[in-house]
Amino acid sequence: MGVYELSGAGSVKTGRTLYTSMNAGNQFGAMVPIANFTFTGTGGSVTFSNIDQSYQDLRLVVFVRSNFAGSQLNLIIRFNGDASSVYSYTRLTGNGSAASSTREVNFTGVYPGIIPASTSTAGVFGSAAIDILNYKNTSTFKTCISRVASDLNGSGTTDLGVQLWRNTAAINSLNISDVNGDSWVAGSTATLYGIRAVSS
Amino acid sequence: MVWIASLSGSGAVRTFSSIPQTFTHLQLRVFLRDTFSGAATNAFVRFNGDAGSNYAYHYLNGNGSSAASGASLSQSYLPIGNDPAGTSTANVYGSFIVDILDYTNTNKNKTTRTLGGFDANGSGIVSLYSGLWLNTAAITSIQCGADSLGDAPGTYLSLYGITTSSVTGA
Repeated sequence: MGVYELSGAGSVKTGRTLYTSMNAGNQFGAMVPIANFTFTGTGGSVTFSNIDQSYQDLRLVVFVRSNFAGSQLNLIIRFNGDASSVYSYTRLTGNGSAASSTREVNFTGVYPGIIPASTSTAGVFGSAAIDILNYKNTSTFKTCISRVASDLNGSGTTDLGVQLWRNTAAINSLNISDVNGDSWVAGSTATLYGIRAVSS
Repeated sequence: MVWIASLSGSGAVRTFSSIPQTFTHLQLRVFLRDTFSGAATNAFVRFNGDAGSNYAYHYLNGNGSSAASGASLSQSYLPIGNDPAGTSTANVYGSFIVDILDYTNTNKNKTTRTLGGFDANGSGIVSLYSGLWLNTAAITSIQCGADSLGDAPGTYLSLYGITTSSVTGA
């Protein structure tokens, strides 16, 4: 399938530029895997560093269960090693009986949602997808949009959220852990994708 | 997923036109702020230049203190969520991902799904929208912007095609 570059106004250029390949490091298409971690039961916090600055957006896909001694807890994400109080979020949550919304300001990281831990139903992992648009822009703060969910056959939560990092720096590293820094259960995964635009 | 085009800049609403009809679905990724003097405005899309009262939507949102749901019909455009505007915290932009399914089908009205919003460290909103365009025409163009028509500098829109085939080049 060919891909045509359009003009700045969105219409097809006269004299089309046909990209015969969307090859990006032997990957085709706009969504390109950058790095992947699969956990073996030891280690929790993971950092994607030296993130390629050639994409338009980033997508982080996480499938994890924590070894925390309780039933569930929050994921936390930080950018560029910044643990200062410059993060905030607005979240919409459903727990199976009611919907609610919460907000936190001046936090030390992004909290996209809740994941299962040791006393939750065995074998259940939480899934999360976090989109970070315009991550390399150096004149805007960084906003994430997220969806996080885990159903535990009788309990569970689903979260939609927007998160803010009040910093205009390009994102070049990203750290993800649970809020206590516990280890992940074996089989947990975290994958970072780049969303490319030909012109970037 | 294959990149089709990106538009950026400030001022009035932008239009993707002559959209290739070779994909199964479309995904519009929107990074937007409005220059309007209020705290927030609506971001919206229109299809094929249709400004008639042919759009309807439902939404579920959270504003940090409560969840709400609503709907409207006979609209002249399709809202995709609230974007920050002139009096909102500086440098904060709204992010939206709009999925437009089966956009080439000429037997179906067109349905969209949008997740997006913004957080401004003490204000903001997250929302999930379902949208309907009561028209069976294939979508060949998409307008997108803030409803005040005053997109701030730094706004950008990217349109992607979703294919069911392996993307292996031309």
